[in-house]
Amino acid sequence: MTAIPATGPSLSKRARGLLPYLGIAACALWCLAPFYWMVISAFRRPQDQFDNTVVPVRWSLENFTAVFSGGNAFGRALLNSLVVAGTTTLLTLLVGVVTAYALARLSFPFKNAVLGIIIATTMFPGVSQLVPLLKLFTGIGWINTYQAMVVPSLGFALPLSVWLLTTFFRQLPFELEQAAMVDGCTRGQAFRRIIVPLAAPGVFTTAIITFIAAWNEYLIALSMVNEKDMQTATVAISKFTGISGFDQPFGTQMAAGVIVTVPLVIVVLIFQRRIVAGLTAGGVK
Amino acid sequence: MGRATSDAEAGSDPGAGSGADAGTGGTAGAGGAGVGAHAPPPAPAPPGDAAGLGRPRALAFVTPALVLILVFLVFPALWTIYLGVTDYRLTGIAAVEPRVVGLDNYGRAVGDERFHTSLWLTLQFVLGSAVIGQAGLGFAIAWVTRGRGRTLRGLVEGLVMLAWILPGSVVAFLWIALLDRDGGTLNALLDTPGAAWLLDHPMLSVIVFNVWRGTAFSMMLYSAALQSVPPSHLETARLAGASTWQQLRDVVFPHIRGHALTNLLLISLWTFNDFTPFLLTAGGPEGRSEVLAVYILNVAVRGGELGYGAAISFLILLINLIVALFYLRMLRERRTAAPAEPVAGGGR
Repeated sequence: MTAIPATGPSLSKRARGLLPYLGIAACALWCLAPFYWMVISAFRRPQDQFDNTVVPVRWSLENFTAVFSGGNAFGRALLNSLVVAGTTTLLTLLVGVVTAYALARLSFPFKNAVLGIIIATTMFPGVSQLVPLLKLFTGIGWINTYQAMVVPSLGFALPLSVWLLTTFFRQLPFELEQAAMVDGCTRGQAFRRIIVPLAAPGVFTTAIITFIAAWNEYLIALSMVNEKDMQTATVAISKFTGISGFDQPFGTQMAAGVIVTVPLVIVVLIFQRRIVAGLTAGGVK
Repeated sequence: MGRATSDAEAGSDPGAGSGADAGTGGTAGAGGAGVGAHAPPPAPAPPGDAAGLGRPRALAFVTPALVLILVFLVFPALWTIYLGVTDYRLTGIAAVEPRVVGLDNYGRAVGDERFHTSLWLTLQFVLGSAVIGQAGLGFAIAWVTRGRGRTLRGLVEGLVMLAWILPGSVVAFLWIALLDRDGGTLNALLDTPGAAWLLDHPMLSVIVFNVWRGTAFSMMLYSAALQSVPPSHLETARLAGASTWQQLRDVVFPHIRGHALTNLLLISLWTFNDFTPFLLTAGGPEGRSEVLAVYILNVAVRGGELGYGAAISFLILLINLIVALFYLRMLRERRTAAPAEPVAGGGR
């Protein structure tokens, strides 16, 4: 069950102490290797793309140029991704903060039913929504529009966001608002000036998680859009054609992969603690 | 143990969940009555209505989210039930005027060899990659890195997370390149030229891929959970001569049972509904890696049989529900005192 092998008494104590580190190193390698390979493959020359050297024989940026070359329209795809993921995140936060605040602070009829619905919907399989959404959006002419991608993502992101934000709001003591109101704040001011700044870390964590999920969304974006100009980056990558137009363009795909993931990697490296805290708070409670 | 909190940020919140709900029945009305007045020194709000917003506004706050969730999650789910009893197709006459065919689609699924295979493959996928792979490996990493330096833990955490946040379509191509028959890196490493991993062992490839991809969540959750195990208990067990396995079984697992079940519930459902294997193998060769999510996509979107696809979708929903109820029941057995709050999760 664990990585610690059954260590017999024959092993010296020193070796036993080292074993966990070996395990950790192996694990780090296992996680990193494919990612490393992506970066390295991206920097190979297209004609070397099936090389297996650990470092490219000749470094080259050709793959990156190919990503943005005529037929692939990747710049446009990146912009689409940014619009879709950005809008989704903003709307999710806007609706999510208000809902979570109400759920955390106020009492009203059917509150538990509301919570129940929100939790239950997190278990819905994304694929099963596909058919009805496709029919709905075909019916109202939303195929090949941004909203056809934003709105389902919003639906999928909201339950988690509301849940995370409710957790964060509940951690803030009620006395904060009361004290503010005693000091002359109106209720709205108490919310804006006291609660929102204090909840900022939680809101921020939720924003990052929502953005990553929306940025990586593939199924809806693939199904709701068939015009090249409206494709998001993740879909565009899967439809790349090589420089020659015939071969599987691994090099180009890897380069595009690097471009798509670099922003995410930076975000994760900077806000790692936050993301971990947010996810475990949502998952453990 | 019940609601052991996870980490520093969540640590200051013992039982706040029930605090907001408890004992509000009578006071809610009073809070609502005081809303309209803008009297400068407001009386301390009743516990259920700390913000003093009152019922109507509270409802107004919740409505947008509810409407969105109802329209784009609940309504499609209900529609799936309806579409599942029609012969609705993507093209042709049945696309314009779908006929209600009753339970024909379900009858077809019951007799469909391909559906059976798909169900069986999904089971392997969930057990192999989620329950054994992700949860097992995730726990192993969490256990081994527990109590080590902050830097080391941060590093490992960051690396594991990397695999988790990358877009599915990108990592799929990465793995295709890795497992390729002629130029594949794995073949070069193992010195097995010409081994077509994705063709000869499609299910194994997909399972290993999903373990690689999804371990992060389990690891993070178990890391947080392990912090709730009192070190003194472990120390005592060790002094008493307990082996690692005995420590795990008798000290650690009783403490993290709730977390372990929560984690298993989430990753089981996610894996069940995960359709990334499609990007790796498209369900092939000959449907040997066609898990249910991929099956739906192949039948409904590629094959155009939306009605049949919807029926399968509904079956998946039912299976999910059963799995969820099973886990929640196990959770409740232990947590009778605390309200058995289910959990939310992310990263579809």
